[in-house]
Amino acid sequence: MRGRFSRSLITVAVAAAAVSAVLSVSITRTSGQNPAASVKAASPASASALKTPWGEPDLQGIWTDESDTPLQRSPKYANQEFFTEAQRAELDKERAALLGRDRRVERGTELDVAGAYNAQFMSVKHTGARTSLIVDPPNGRIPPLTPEAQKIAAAEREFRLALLQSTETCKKKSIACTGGKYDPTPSPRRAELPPRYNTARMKRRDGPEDGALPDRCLTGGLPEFGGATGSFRRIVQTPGGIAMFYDVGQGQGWQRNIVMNGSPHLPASIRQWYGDSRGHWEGNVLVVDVTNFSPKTDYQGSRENLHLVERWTRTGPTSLEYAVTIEDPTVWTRPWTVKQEFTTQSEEQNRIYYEPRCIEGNYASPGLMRGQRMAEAAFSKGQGPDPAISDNATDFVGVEDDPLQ
Amino acid sequence: MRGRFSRSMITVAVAAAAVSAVLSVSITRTLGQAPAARPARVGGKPNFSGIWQANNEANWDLQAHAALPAAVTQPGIYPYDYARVPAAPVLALGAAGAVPGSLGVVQGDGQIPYKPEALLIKKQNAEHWIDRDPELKCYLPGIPRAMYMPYPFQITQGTDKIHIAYEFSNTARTIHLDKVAGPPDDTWMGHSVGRWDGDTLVVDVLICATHNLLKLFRFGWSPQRA
Repeated sequence: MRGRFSRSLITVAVAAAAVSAVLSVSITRTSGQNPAASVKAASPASASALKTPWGEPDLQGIWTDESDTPLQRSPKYANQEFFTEAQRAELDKERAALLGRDRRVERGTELDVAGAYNAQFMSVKHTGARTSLIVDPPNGRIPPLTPEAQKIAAAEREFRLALLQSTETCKKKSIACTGGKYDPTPSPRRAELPPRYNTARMKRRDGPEDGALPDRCLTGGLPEFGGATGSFRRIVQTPGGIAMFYDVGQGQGWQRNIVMNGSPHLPASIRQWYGDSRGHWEGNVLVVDVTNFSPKTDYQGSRENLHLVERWTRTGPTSLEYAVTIEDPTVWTRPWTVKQEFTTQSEEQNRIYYEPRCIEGNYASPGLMRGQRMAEAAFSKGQGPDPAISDNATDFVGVEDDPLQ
Repeated sequence: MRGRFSRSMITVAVAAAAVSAVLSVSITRTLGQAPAARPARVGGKPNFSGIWQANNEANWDLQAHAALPAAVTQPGIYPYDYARVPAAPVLALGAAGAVPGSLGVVQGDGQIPYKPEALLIKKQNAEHWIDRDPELKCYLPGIPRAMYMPYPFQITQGTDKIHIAYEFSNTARTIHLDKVAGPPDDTWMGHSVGRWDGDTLVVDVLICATHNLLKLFRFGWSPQRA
C-alpha cells in the first residue's frame, strides 16, 4: 500500500501534570564509575527508596551498560574479579587505538570482499570495572561442556567445514578453516541437513533456513548482554505487571512480558523465541524465571533446555544491577552467573529505537538466495565460475585483536 | 519467522528436571485462573493495564460491508458484483479465508470519506491485496491497524509510559506521557504521545512511513469505551 510521502511535524503540548508524574528521579549521567560503588551488594538495606506510586521498587526507565566488559575473563587475570584502576586506564588506551582503524585481510581477496564490519564501524566504550561479566564460576569463564554438548559442537563444526572444503578459504589455510581440509571436489555433505536446526552462518543458501538467524531478522533473545550494536532495555511497570522492550542488534528489537500473577510456566509443548518469563518480588529484588525456549533459539549451544533465573535490583537513582544464573544440564556441567550494572538513560532524548523493522528492509535474505541460484545457473551454462569454490559465508577472521578478550 | 505462528507448536520431550529446575516458588495455581485484582486507578487516573482484544470485524474492513467469500475475489460465471468468487490463490482456504459481514466501525454511515484519487488507490490495493498488504509479509502493522487485528494485546500502564505489546509479529509501541524528542526517522508504528483529558487518555500518533497512509490519528480512550 503506497501513499504519497510527506512529513508533518506537530508539536503536542503535554500537560504538566502528566509530565511531572510521581517519579522523583534525578537523572544524572556519570562516567567512569567507581568500582566500589558499582559492585555494592544489592541488599534491601542499601537500595534507594525509589518506589512506584503503588509501593514496588521502581525499575522503570531506559537502561544500558555504559562500559565494555567481556563475557569471559581472560585467563591471565585468573580469579581477579575487578580491574585495578591502572589496568583499566591501560586498557582504555589500547582500545582507543582501535577506533577508526581500518584493518582488513589482504585487499582484493575473496575474504576481504566478504568481510563486513571492522573497527572503522565500531564504537568503543570505556573499559568496565569487572574483568568479566561472568562472576561465577570464580574463574569468570563458561563452565566446561557436557560430553553430549561437545559431540554436538564437533558435529556442527565438521558439517560446516565440509561445506567449505572446496573454497579458497580452505585452500589458503585461513584460520576460518581450522580443523578442516582442502579438497577441490565439493563435499557430498552439501546435500545433507546440518546436525541440528540451523542458526549460524554456513556456506550454503538453498533456502531461508540455510541463513543465520540474524540474516532472517531473528537474533533478539535471552540472555541479552549487549554487543557491538548496543543494547538498551526499557522497563515499564504497572501494578501486577512488567513489560520490557529491548533495542538490540540492528533493528532486531523485541519485547517481553513478565507474568507476575504467580501462575505457572506455559505447558512444555509451547516453546517461545524469548522463553516464558514468570516473575515475583523477593524483598527489593525482582526475580524472573525463564523457561520454554524454542529449539530454534541458540545461546552458546543451549537451546530448548535453557533455563534462566534473573535478579533485577534498583541500586540507586541512576543504577540498576542485573544478575542472571544460566543453566542447561544438557550443555554445561554446572550453572553459571553473569552480573551487569546498568545506567539510566535520558527519557527526554528517548534514544531507544523501539521499532524493530528488520524484516521490512530485509532484501539481503532473498537476495542471497537469488544470487546463488543465478551463479549456479551461469556455471551450469559454462558462463561463470563454480560457486562451490567461492566462500560467501566467512566474515573477517583474525583481523583485529580486542585487548579485552 | 516472526508472526503469529512464531510460537511454534512443537511437542518437545523435555525432561521434567530441566523444566522445574531450581524454581522455588510453589506452583499451585492452574492455568485459566483469574489474575490478581488490578487497581481500577493508578496515580489518580484510570488503569488501562490488562489484556484487551477488539471485539468486532474491523480487521477485515473498517467500513460497513456484506460478507464476502474471500479477501480477494474474481468474477464468477455471472457479471454481477454480488456473484464474485474467491480469487484462485486463496481458493484453497475455503471458508477459513472468507470475510465476515459487518456494520463497520466508522461512525455515521459507516463509510470513510475518501477523496476520489485516494478511493482509486484503495481499490487498486484491494485488487492486489496479496502482493501489497504488509501483513502477509509479517511487516509491522502500524497504528491503528494493530489495535484491531484479531489477536489480544497487552497494555502495561506505567508512571510516564504506557507500553502496548501486540501478539502479531511481536509488535510493540510506547505511548509517552512525558516530554520526549521526536523520532529520528520514519516509523511504521508511529510516535505516540499521550495526555489526559479528564478520565480520557488522548493519544496523538505521528505517522510518517511510505508504507503507511499518512495520517494523524487522534484516539480517545475512556473507561466507558475501553
